[in-house]
Amino acid sequence: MTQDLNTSRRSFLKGGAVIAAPLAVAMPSAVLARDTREQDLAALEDERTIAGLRDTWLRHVNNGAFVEARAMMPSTAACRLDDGICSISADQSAAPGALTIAEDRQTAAQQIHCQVAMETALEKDCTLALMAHAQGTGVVRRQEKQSLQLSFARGEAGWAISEASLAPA
Amino acid sequence: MGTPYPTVPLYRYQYTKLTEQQILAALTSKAKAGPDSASPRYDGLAGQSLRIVTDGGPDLSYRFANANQLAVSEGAAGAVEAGYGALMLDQVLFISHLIPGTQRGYVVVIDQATNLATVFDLWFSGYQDKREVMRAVFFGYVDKPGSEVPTARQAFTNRAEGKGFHWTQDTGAETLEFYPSCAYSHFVELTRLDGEIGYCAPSDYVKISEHSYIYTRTESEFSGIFTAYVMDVDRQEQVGVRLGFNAADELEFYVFRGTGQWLGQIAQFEAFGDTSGAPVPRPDDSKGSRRVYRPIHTFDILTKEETAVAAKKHKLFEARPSGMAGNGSPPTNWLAGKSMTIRYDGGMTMDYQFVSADVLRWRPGSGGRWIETRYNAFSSMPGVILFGHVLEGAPDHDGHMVVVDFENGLATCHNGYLNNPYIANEANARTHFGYIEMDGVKTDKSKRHSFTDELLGHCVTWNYSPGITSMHLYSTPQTVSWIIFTPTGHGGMEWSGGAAFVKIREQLYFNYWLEEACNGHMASFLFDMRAMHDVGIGYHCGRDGLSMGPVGAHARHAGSFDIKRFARKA
Repeated sequence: MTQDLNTSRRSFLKGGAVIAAPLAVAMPSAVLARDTREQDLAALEDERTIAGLRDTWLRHVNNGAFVEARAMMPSTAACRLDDGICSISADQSAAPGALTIAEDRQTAAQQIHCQVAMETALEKDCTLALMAHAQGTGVVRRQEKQSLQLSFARGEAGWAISEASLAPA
Repeated sequence: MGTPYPTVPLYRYQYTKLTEQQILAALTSKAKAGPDSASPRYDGLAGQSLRIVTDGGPDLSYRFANANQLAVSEGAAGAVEAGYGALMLDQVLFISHLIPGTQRGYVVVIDQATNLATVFDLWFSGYQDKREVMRAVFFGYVDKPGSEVPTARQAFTNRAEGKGFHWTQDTGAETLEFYPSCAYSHFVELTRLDGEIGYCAPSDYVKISEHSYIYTRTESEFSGIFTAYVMDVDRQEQVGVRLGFNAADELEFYVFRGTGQWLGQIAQFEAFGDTSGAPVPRPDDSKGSRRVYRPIHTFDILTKEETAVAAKKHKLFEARPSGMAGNGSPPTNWLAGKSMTIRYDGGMTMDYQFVSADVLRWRPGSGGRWIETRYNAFSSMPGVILFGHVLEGAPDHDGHMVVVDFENGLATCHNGYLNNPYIANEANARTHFGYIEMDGVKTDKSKRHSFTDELLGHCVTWNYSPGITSMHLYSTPQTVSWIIFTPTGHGGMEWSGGAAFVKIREQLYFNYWLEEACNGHMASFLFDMRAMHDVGIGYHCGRDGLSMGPVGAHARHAGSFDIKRFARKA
């Protein structure tokens, strides 16, 4: 049972494909089915890899590990997020954002509705702001619904996040 | 050596920079004799032993020889003999002593009903100003061999926040003490000082029970004296200790009893259910660390000559106002095209020609040279306008913030100026009362706006813009204290300065506060207590110039303290 629990989705589907094979009636259909299944498997593999990248990146952002989050991208400029971002969490009241993978499987994009927590440092232009900074609380926090837009690209090393940005929801 | 208590505001007094040697020498005899006490000490400890264990702090073993001598061991160290003072308040035992040969001491508070204890570890020479008493707070219990170690602890709390008392010590000292914050407190010395100005100090608040709290304050930036007491808010009694050097550099070390008079309870702004304390984040994990507001250390202080140079550059009602104006009103053009003369008591006369919505011409006294300058005006209640401008060429770089009350033909001016004897670029103020001469305005020359105590004791919150929120506490007729909040709504850091309060009409007040020994600002504001909104003008001189700009906020009542009777006394 333990092995079953550890079985990957891919190996499960392969097994399924093998099990399903005797049900095939004609050779041409079987070949077509195998091709479709291989494409499906490849798509699932892409989805899983991209989801892992996305989740790791979000974990870095939500832990304040922005250096690590940016390191997952090809350049600093690709991470188009304000410095004041504190956390990005999925907006459970919105429809889940669909992942779109290009037919050539070289690029992908996902748009996720999020709750974004942000803080902005108070400008030190008055005594109350100076006091707040002295108190260690010199920021304004706010939460907004936004749309996280992630782009992915497949390179020699496999899938990577190519760009991340936030837009008004 | 001066008087024990300054005759100038505490933030103006130059306290001696005592050396460690001077401090140790002064502590030596008191450490052996123990604190003075005007009331009989508690003698119930004589012949007893006691061990206090704290979490991550001192482990203190005591043997009490009599009512004022003990031997104490700190951890595994050998016992040392010291004088002590103990007082009881109901079931709470309050003990204080120094450690001979050191600059250290302890305050130990034990709730005999629960055997829980709070220990204040005290020391001198822990800050650049060595006279300032430092403290670290530890929570623990009385070790009872054979008994289980209690899991509960006394703890920092916000349950004392918002209360105020008039305390009279057995020494005769009378104070008004306000707890509008969980990190600071505000106090008015009615007997040691003249009671005219209230001061702020970093404070601790520890809950013993729903009726009983431990409070401390350290007079940081002033004498550095430390006060700690237990107060029973229902019995309205206190027992405590005062330790430190007064303005005459005399060591004060005494335990005291006091009786209180309830001043009231103002609002709290934390979420319901949040009773946490110590809301201001510590700067680091070092022993006793906490954030203390020391604004004079960051204020860019200019000489009179530097001020004269800086004040030549004017920054008047610039396009981008500060965060203090986020909820302000837009300027009004109502004065544009009008002319008037304001005659103030004492002989000052100002002629005005309002050229446009933001340019006026003024001259001092009829017949002088007209001077053109930028101004802004703001509407308040119908027929009342606040306008402000600087007086180019004035030797003290004056600014006038003027309320003109066209319904009554009256005018009141908050006259900001620089070049006080302490800090040249710090704003000072005087108030002038007068009347208007203007076509179409009826004036009863016998009437004036006047100073008022109607706001005395009131607390009002002010939201200027997102993140810029404070609460005013009007603790004396000459004081505004301002408290900022933490993100959790706890009262946080606090400071205070000089102020004046003028009644314009029912529910309309023209006030100013001065950020003395702070950032040098003056804010003059017209407070409409029906709209719960103010329009105001800030006045300031820094290295970048002499500035004037708008101030405006949304207000909320936060309650009031019953203190008018003390103002009359003062």
